[in-house]
Amino acid sequence: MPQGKSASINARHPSASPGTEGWVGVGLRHPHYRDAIEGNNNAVDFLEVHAENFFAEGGILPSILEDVANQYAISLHSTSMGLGSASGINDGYLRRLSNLADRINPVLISDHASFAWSQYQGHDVHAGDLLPLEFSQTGLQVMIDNVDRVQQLLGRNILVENLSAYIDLGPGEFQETEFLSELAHRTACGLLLDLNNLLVNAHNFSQEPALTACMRWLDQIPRDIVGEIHLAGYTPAGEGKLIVDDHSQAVSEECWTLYRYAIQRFGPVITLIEWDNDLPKWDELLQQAQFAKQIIAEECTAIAIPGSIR
Amino acid sequence: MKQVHSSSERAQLARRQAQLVDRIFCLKENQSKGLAIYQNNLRFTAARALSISYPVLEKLLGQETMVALAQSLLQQESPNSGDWADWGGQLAEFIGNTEFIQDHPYVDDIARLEWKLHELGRQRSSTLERDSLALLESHDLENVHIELNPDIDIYHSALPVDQIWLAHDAIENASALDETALAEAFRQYPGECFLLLYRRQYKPDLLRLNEDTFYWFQDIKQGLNLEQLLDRHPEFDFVHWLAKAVENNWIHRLKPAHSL
Repeated sequence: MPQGKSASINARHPSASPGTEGWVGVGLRHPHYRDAIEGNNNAVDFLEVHAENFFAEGGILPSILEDVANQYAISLHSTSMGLGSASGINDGYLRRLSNLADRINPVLISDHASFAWSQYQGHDVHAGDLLPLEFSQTGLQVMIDNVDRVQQLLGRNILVENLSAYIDLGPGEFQETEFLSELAHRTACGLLLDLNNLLVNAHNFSQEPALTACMRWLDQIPRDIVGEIHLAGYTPAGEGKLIVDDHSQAVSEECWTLYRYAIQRFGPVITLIEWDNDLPKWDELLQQAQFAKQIIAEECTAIAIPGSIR
Repeated sequence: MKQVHSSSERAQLARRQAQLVDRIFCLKENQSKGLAIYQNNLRFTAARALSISYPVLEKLLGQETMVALAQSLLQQESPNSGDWADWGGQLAEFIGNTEFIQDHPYVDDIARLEWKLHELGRQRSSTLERDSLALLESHDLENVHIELNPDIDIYHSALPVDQIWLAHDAIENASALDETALAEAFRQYPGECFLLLYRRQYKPDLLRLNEDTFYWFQDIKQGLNLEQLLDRHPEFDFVHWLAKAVENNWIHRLKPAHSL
């Protein structure tokens, strides 16, 4: 249920980064590198980069990332870790991720509740996508083991993001919310709450109104495990088609409404505007971040929200 | 809550996950709208990966052909590192085994060249360890080896593919190609090409070498010591080459035999 405008700051969760309450950031993608480096670095509290885009040890990207990391706090978001892979996570991949994390010392590290590492035609394969999990006891134990391994290797807690999934793997032993809550409880990882993913799933598969379904989903999540919120938009689907979580639009009105509800429930959680395709101008992205900041301020009036930290 | 999970349960889950991967990667049409989304994502991501790694090839062949090549290559080379930039290295070999190559005999060589450029563009660069040059005075030449910078490579083709690559690298798309200039380049540089691939600032570039210099580089890469190199290339102007190599950061260091 909504907590009204007196939401309190979450009890400290191991995955939370001290001093990040009320922070709002944007995803940094290739066309905006120059804007970010040459622009006003007080306009946003942090930038999120996709880890795999910076795995190369040479070329121009390491120096761009170094410039960016000298000006902004960085959230390192990977998309290929495949934390739910029953065959385990590739050692070489984790080595590259760990090296990158050592170089830029990010405030957050996150990936998804999905699998990717498997076998195809007798060979090891990375599926190149965020493939859905079975919410089973075995699936949970695989996630726990993999998250534990990653956290041991990185020497820190990570955040795990709820997924938009396009196929139904059948009824599991857990609801998704139970699965993610148990994962957080057993590994001390945090939940990266992607509100757009919830909306996409609800529109594609729920029998009830999407917002109602999403709010009910949020009500089942313990208040103290949410370490970050992602906001995004999607391209509307044609008649009879599934919506694809393409991050190609401004944050939808529905997502802003759900965000307001989430802030009421979880407090001023560090928040990211995700926009990966058909990118807008940098200023428009920053305006979206400012609007998120405004919502945090409106919903958490009892709390002094820090401005730009860096 | 049950805490213990047998390895057989985990193996069964791994098999179910592999079955889903199989249904996606086979890229066959199916009735599931959800599965089709994953298949489309795979096609799109693989094609985008190739267009980034092979920009000139895409200008030569067009986007549609690259999408088809990506789809076919997925059946031969599975992505397996978690970084799409590592996938696609077998494209030249794949093209070379298709009928496509009969009408476009230079295309697999262009692909081979572009993959090398792509790889060296991501390589860590090293600066020259200047103190190591003193080995030329302190050691016998048979005990001195040259270690090249990891961001340089060499390349040979029986065709003047460098001229094709240079002409297309400079333009936005194939329709902007100056065919007269390319024909002139072919007249000027007919036949095979021997190339040094290197990075100019951050961007991969290429430089024509004469045949002897190409094999000099090749012998360095094969680990010959300086005495063996000079024996095999008696006419080679090592002093002049060394100055140029230092100036252009081609060398990481000289190293004594015992450090190999």
